[in-house]
Amino acid sequence: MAAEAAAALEGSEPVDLAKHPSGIIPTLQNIVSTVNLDCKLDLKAIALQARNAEYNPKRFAAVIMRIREPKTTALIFASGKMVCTGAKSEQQSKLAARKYARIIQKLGFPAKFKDFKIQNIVGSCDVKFPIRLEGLAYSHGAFSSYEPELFPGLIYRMKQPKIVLLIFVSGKIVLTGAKVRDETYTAFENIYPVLTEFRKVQQ
Amino acid sequence: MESTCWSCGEGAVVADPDTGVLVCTSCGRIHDSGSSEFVHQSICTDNGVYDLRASSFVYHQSQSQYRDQKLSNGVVTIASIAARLGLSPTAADEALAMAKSATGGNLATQGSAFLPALASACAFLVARSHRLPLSLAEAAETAFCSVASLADLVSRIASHLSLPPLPSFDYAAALERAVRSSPSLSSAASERTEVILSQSRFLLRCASKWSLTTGRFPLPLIAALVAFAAEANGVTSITVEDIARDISARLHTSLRRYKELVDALVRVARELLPWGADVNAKNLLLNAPVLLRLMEMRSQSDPSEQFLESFAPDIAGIVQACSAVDDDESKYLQVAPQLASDDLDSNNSGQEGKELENFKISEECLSSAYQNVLKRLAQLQRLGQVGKGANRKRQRIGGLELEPCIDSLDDGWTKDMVLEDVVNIDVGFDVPPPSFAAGMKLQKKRRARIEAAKCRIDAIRKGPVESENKLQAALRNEDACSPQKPARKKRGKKRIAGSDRAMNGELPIEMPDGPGGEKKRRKGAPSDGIDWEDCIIELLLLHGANEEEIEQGQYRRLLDLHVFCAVSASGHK
Repeated sequence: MAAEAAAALEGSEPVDLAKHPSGIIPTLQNIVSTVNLDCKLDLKAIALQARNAEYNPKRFAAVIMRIREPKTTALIFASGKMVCTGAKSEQQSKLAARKYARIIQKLGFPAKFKDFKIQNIVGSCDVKFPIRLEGLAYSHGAFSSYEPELFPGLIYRMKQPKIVLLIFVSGKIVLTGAKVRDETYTAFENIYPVLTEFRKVQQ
Repeated sequence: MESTCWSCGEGAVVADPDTGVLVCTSCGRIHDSGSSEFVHQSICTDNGVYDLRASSFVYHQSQSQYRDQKLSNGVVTIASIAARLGLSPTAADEALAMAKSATGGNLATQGSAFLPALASACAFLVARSHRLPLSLAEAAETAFCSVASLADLVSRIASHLSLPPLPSFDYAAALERAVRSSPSLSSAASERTEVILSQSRFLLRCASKWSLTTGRFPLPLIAALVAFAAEANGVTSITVEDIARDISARLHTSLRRYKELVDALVRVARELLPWGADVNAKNLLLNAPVLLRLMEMRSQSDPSEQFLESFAPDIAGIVQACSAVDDDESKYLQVAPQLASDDLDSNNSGQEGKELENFKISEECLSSAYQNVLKRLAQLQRLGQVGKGANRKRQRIGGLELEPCIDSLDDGWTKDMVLEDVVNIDVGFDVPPPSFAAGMKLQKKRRARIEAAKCRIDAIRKGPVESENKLQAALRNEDACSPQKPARKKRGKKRIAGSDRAMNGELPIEMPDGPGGEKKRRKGAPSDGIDWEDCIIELLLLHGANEEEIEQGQYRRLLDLHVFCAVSASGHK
């Protein structure tokens, strides 16, 4: 019920202009979290017993496990550390991590749920106007990296909050590196006036 | 020497005595750098078995001959690749120093794939830091690796060494280098190289204005610009493919850039040329010389009498270009037949005379229009309304199409349209970035799909009511049959039979799982034109997703939020 209410809020939340002066709210695309199961794990045994697990030590030193609801992927290491990716909200990420921990417990390991932490939040939005990347890179050279041969967008490393923004000529923006969603929102509100300044106006 | 595993961060990395590879004692991770660094064919026996004696020789720390040889080979390879990429000896030394810094002085093993990639990456970074027009594609070709992998290595080296941001790519220098160093162009049109280069530079400025350069690899666009400029100057033996091969640009991408350039120029021609409505991708090259010159003149910031005087010689060219247009398709020449019909009333000579008269009238009309512009401009100059400060709204140049007819009929100045066009001639044509335009187009398509899905949902919701009404109507018909007289029993029976058939015909609607219903659905699916995206949009709408978010196309996220989580919550209850 709480998850459903949260999903409803995330889907149709009205814009609070006091918090979002630009009128645009970035949407969260991916949440990465970590948790400590606090026990050593036999990865081969987990891979053999769990049907939704992949383990190839030559390729990667962790079991890759997936669940459908929430649709996420977990990386489970022998040390007991686990990384959960793919959730679309903080609540989903925590719920998924608990489900993975429960699966490990059912396999016979004394897994716990310690030190759950959101490590990264990825958001995106569309300002709906084209942006002059060359001008932005020249004007904000200390924070910008624009190399079309390496990456088609401009990489903007904001100092406060410490967020990396990927800015594309089409007006699409990707924000990554936040620990809480408010950092994502703040970063976008900080960059929006700059984007407006370098809006490509069609003559 | 033991080190900590970078994967789990806990175990020690040691060499496996059997295979020689480096493995983690905790998680079992196999470290590829260890295997590629220490396992060589020379230390295996003829049967492919690991030779312990050779490995002991390799691992002996006191023996430095191997290391010196390795470094020497690495230095030679890096210097060779740097020279091949056009770096000076001084720049090559910088690249070598960078490679040593990036690898902690170890460089890489001779014969491995990493060494040429390392050399090319460092050479690229040094060249770009000196603003040399070396592209990533050229560096990747020299290193025999993909552009993506070299780009990744460049990024990692720059990050590892904390290099400052690179200067932007010098398009102008790369363009000149492409024109002067292209073997195909040199062999086909060496005498017109300067003209081609000049036009290419102008087209590059236009492409930059139209955002054709933003966020793209530079070389494909340069290939397109050079190829178009060459074709516009009559060099028909040169193609985009030839230029792309000469400058190591991707062929498919170069063709796409060429098409984008042509499409943009067609739009400009339709906007600027009097006969622009007749210009298309096929005949653009015929109009390119006039168009490019007109665009270049319009790019001037301050129109003046000198500009207008230089515009005069183009009138003859415009007339010639206009004459080349197909009469049947020319909208401009559709105006002329009206004049021709007037000439018939004047009892002119035969068909040839009519065509000749038509040609003269066109030229005279254009010349008259030009003279009128000069007179009007002189008047405005006296009034002080001409110059940079005259911020007038730009008018379409299409007004010139009507001017000759008006002048010939009225023999006087009656409109300010042409003058407005001339005064605002410094305003260029502009288009949004291709990716932005494509995004807007997709958004409109999604909006149409959303509306269609809403109609389908409404139709389904109204369907049972209509079915019930039909059933009631059938029942009324059946009741109406009972009062019939006995003398009409036959007719009454027929009606009842018809009602039965109608009721039987409704069975597929009432029993959707029946074979008839399945056949109907199967047959209907392809003809409806509904694809996977329509189904997803309909599903999201039924689950109450926001239409604006659906319009953005974030289906996966919306499905996770509104469909799968909703199903999970419902199941949990």
